Amino acid sequence: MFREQYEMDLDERELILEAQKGEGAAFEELVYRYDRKILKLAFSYTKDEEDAKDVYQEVFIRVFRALPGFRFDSRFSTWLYRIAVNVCLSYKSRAQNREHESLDMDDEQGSGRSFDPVSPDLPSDQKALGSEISQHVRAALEALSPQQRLVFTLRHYEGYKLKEIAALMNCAEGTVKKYLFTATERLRHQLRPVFQ
Amino acid sequence: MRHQKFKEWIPLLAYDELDEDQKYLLNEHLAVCAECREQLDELKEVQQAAGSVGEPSETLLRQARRELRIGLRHPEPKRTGWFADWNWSWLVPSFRTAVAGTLCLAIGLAAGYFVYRQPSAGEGPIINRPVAGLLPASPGNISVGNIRFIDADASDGNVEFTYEATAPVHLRGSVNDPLIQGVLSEALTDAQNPGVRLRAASLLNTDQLKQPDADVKRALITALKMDENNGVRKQALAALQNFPFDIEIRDALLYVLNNDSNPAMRIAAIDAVRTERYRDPEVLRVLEEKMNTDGNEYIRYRSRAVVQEAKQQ
Repeated sequence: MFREQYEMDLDERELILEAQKGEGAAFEELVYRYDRKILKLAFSYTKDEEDAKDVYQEVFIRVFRALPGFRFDSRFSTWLYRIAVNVCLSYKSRAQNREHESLDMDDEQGSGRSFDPVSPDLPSDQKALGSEISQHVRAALEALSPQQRLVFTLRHYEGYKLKEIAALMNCAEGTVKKYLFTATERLRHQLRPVFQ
Repeated sequence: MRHQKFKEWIPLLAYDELDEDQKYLLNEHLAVCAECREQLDELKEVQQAAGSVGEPSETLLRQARRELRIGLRHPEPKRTGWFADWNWSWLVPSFRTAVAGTLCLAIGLAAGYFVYRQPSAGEGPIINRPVAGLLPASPGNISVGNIRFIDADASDGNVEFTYEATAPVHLRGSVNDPLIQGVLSEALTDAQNPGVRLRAASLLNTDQLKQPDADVKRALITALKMDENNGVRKQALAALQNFPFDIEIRDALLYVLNNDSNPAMRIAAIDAVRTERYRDPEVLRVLEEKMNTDGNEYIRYRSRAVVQEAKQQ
């Protein structure tokens, strides 16, 4: 088990060194090793295929640019996911900028995105529809702050433990717990009319 | 312990982030606190409604990889330009329509100026080989755009800027011409229009190709692995069969066999590696795996038949 892991790391180290020398095939191999997970994370976070592709592309362009400076101080995967986390957070900021163009709204807790609370007088048959609920969930997630949304995404959809999320986001575990609490509270309140 | 602290623990319980002692304390509190029980029940409903996200589709992954490749070649991220990052919030809503209208008018006038000031482009210059480069040296028939000034101060008599120039080019020559191969390879991997990519792949799929270039092979492998269009991938696979079989081509074909969602492509990949079944243990290994695991019955049958052929030799 450990031997396999060691050999895999050795193989990956060789790939990284080759990619750092500008070997395109080595960089491509590195991308192929991790890009499914990055695309899944991007889609979990953005809930939109086009946005997910944008996030994916920006992650790997940043990796490509920063790779010559990678000094093996951490595992490559950890370094990559940290970049992905930062791209997700800054992606939200850019979306926020775009929306300022068309929205005049009050910003609650810095989310910067509009959210129409679920109408409590929705017909009950519509409430039962899975797609309808998905839309409400998506709207509720979009109303969270980038940090709250990312913590919820990483914990709920990607299955990371809070300690791991804290390492990826470079913050204390207590802060992550607070984000998760706030995120789940806001989702609970905003989705309550859907469940009633 | 205070009620508020237990409330904060409820998401941690729902996501299995409490230790055994904390779970015990919280469960004791839940037994006597209706408000916290309601919070937990509602959170479970949220968890259920939020559901899960499956693996990204092969099509989406292929599109993302293709766009990444283009992005790396032209490394300007789509949404990081000044336009996307600019804070437009200073535009008061009532002025937005007027400003947008003025911008459209200005762009229209500029486009009209650039279109009508040019003489008719016709078919463009015919370039016969050999040539030093594709772009004409004089800007007579070139459309100029995206000018960026580096030194816009002419007080010392000098200026410096970059621009993008496009010109119609008519190229005629042999498919063995490195320039023609280069242009077709670019079209195969970079063209947005799938029809253009398909035509480029078809043109490269010819037994007239006597001097296959490494870049052409790389472009065909890229198209085979990543293009979202079945026809392009199929043509790329056929074109690669004109090349001497090597490890790169083998790996690309095995990649198709393992990952392509289209059964016809996987079958074509089996046929393409079939001749190597005696010599290459990796080919045999993948076929043995596919004969047991592929979701398509015919592919399992086909793989088994090729493996048995190999073993009978």
